[in-house]
Amino acid sequence: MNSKILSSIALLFLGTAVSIAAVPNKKGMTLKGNITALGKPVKGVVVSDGVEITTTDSKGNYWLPSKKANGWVYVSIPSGYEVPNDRSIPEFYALTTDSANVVEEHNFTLTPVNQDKFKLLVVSDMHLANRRNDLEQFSSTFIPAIQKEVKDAGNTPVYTLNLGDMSFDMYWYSNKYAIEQYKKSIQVLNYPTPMFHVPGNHDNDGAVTAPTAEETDFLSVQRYVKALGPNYYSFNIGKTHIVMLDNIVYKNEPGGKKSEGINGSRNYDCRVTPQELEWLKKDLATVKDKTAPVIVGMHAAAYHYKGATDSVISWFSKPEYSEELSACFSDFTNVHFVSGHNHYNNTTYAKPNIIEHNIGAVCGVWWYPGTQYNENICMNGAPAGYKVFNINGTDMDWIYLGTVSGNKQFRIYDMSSVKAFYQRDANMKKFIQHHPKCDLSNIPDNLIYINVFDWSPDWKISVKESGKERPVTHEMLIDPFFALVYQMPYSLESNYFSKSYDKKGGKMNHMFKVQAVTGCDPIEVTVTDRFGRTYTETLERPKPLTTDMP
Amino acid sequence: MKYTIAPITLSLLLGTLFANATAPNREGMTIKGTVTSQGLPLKGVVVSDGVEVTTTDADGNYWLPSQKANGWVFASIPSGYEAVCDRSFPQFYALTTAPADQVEEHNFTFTEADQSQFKLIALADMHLAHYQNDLEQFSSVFIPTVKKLVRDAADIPVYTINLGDMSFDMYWYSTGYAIEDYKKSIQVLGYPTPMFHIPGNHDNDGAVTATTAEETDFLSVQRYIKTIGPNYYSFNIGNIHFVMLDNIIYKNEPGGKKFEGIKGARNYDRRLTQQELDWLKKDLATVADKNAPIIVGMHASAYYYKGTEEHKVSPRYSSAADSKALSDCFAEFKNVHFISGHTHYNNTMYVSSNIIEHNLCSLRGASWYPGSIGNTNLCPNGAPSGFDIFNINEGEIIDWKYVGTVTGDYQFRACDMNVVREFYRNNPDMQKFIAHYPKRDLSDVPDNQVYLNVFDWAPDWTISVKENGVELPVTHEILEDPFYTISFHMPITTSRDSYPSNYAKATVNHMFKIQANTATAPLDITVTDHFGRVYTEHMERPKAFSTSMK
Repeated sequence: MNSKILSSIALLFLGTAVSIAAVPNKKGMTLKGNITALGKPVKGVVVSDGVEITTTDSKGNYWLPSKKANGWVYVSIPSGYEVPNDRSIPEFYALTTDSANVVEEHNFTLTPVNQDKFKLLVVSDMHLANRRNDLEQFSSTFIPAIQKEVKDAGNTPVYTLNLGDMSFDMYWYSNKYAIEQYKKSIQVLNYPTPMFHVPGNHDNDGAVTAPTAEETDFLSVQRYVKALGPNYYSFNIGKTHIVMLDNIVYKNEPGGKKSEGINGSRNYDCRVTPQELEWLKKDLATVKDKTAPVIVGMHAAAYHYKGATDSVISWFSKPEYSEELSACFSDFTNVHFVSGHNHYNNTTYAKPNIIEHNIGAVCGVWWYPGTQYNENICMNGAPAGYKVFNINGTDMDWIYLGTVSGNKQFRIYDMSSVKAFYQRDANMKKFIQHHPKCDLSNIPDNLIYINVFDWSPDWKISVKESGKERPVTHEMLIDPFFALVYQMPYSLESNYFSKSYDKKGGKMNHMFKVQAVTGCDPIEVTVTDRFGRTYTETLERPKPLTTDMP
Repeated sequence: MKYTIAPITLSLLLGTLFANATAPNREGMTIKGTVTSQGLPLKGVVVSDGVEVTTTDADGNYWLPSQKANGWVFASIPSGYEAVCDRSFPQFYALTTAPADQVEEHNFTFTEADQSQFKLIALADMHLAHYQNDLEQFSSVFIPTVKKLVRDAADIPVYTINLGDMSFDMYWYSTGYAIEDYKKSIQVLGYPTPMFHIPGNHDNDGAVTATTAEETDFLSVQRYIKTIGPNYYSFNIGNIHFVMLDNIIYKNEPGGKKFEGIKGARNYDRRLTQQELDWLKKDLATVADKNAPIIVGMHASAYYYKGTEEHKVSPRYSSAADSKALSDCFAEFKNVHFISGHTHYNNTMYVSSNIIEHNLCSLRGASWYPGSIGNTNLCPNGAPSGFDIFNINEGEIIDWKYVGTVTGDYQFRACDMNVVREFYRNNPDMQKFIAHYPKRDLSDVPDNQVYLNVFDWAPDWTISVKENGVELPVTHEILEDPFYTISFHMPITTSRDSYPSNYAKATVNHMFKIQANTATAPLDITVTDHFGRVYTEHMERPKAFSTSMK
């Protein structure tokens, strides 16, 4: 005890000694500072204001000729270190406090941590807005799930990337729950890992309209920046370099639905601005090992599969926007884009060197099913959840987990029972009147549907009926459970019948169809993922379509 | 699977038969109905409208000559049965739907349950108001705790009585979170047991002011009734008879602080109305076994310990006669437990030879504020916020215990006043605090004292403290608990630079003072409760004093 007290006093003393040796001024340099770990300078640490990039010298000092255009400076946390957390919000940045021509000093302290192995949780689209009992649902299901992830990790450090839409712009003013309240919730809930954020479109301030589009985009993200820090930045964990990008250009043009305090239509483009791309290239140039993993966190997805095919299409506002982003990584061999926004799992092999993990939403379909049923569901029929990356050196695997259902990778439907439900259920009939394309009451007999939530082309699906293999086809199909717990009740309750259901019939792109021979023999489904992990389930028929079905 | 179909069909069929065989009309009887279980009539079930009390006949039929003054009718759930729950809210009642001169029919169904052994959670004063991150805290801390408790209870059924102040009248309109929102929260959170409620003063509608006091009291509880049910009633679990009482006369007279939507001072009396007392006597007359335990749930406590002097129990209703009027109803009963909340302050009182009153700590604590800044939520008596658990076996209350929501089975806190004194002398925030509240200064306490707060102390608990094996005298005094001060009053006042006058004094009536001979010899503290359960602490000194203590 005494020796500990002594050494912490000694540390305080060293800390003081370092800060006494203030960083000297340099001509043209407006931001400067010092980076230490356990009182000692750390050399070679990347520091940036989002435009200029530099690295610390042997004394741990840095200087930036900053115009302070972004209003922040951050340290790209080096491999093997952590920064202090303000109750789960990592403090790797400082907001600038003075005008561009005044020199200001911002120092950072790091703590060494063994990161040979770590667990990375990737979460997105919480959409907390003080509506639909979202705070209760988030607090009672998501928080305990993450606490369990951390507990199960034992001594392995756990970090979280949060890919935006933590809040919901249209409710910032009407429900008095904006980005600042989100931060407070996370802190009060003692979110159990450091959490690194980027803004989503809904984390922009819809009250902002400025004379130019550039100003609107800049000003609308300022409340996010004040609350959570830089809207783009990088850091390192173990051998992995992580880049966090703001890929929303918030336009908030006139029009749109009226909502208290909101002055525009809250529209936006999905792209990385040229300024941010310039910074990104400089940032990536500091990364020496081009074969080590790079993870790129961003809100909107850059790529997606086209329908139920293996062909990859751009998902940014223009195809060239996706291409200019992926071009930045051409030197790198092991790149993972992780994105949210769609509330839809898609693990897309975008380029030979890039996998895009577009992940399901923490809120599922905006917390709606969870007000009635046990679990929320995403737009692709997957349980609301998050993705876990286990990283060991440069090796990694990943898995999508449901917040409530955990490691459940697919759902099987006995379509004869589903068909009977569609023929019988009065509410479903009402829904079908509005959406004839969503009708499943006339499908052939003895079909089996399987929704494989986080499917990618190297997954294998084997289906046996009475021990005999049946052919499996990959098709765009309706997920009837999604229709039952979301589309149908929400449409009837709100009397709002979405045109998007008519276009595609609410079909999902990782659905699989099997024509069974009989109507009653058990069906054995075996799904093998990319890593050879197998998941099996036997379907006993009839299996009714119910809101509490597994 | 197939075999279960037969009894379901049978009971459905029987149910239909009985539903067809409605109770015939009878002269002067305005409410009638049938009480069944699995389609079979239940005889001898007590049914009441809160004025008249009757029992079902051999056909399960009942008739009440009701004036429908309360607007509800309930069946007092018989021993060995449960009511159907609307997601944790037991449906043992119906709201009346027709004028007093029209006959209306209300049928009740109960299901059999083995109640030879059960656990009872007694809790009070949640004070949910969408304020100070209460929903996040309630959902992430309390809900998982009670879910674990139910899981650990395995096959033993668990029930909850909620003694009011679930909501917070002054915020019903300003934050938009009223009694209906409370119900929704509980349902969305999947509260894992049936929960029986009564209203507290804060569950009354402060927007109501009527021409007479009686009308105000009646009208202000109507939103509670519409949402949750009767404001007083009875039921049975095992062979324990429960009586749930509304002992708040909401007056809402002119004056008081201004809050959005609130029209009066939200003031109230603590007592039963004559109508409720008359009903209570009739209800108790239906209980055959006067030796079996009776549990009386109510919001305000009927008694309290006045100081530490001779452990003297004093009446605490608005007048001594009001407390006596309640107790007198139970004169024939041998084993009566009053359970109450309201004070947010544990006091277990041996009121008389046949009555024990358990005045519970609050589930919130004094405020949700400490938890919102990362401290422990504490009741004004310094106890960690929590609830009571009663274990009942074969009709006997085997034991009870106060449990902290976070701290669990932690029954006392020992503060080393030498260390506390140093904190009071040196901490800048504490300096500010005591400058405003000189009576709360502990910087001059004598050397080598230890303060013990025994949260749920009752006069038959014993406390023994040894220093170097030698027993030290322990004195029972009214003292301040310094942990409460640093967890709540100090941070809330200094961070807001606002010092309310009601913080001038904060003392606890179950504090114990120990004068040690040395500053450093460890103390062995042994606390023994009513049931002979022993709680110990080996207290090394100096013992740290900080908000991270329990």
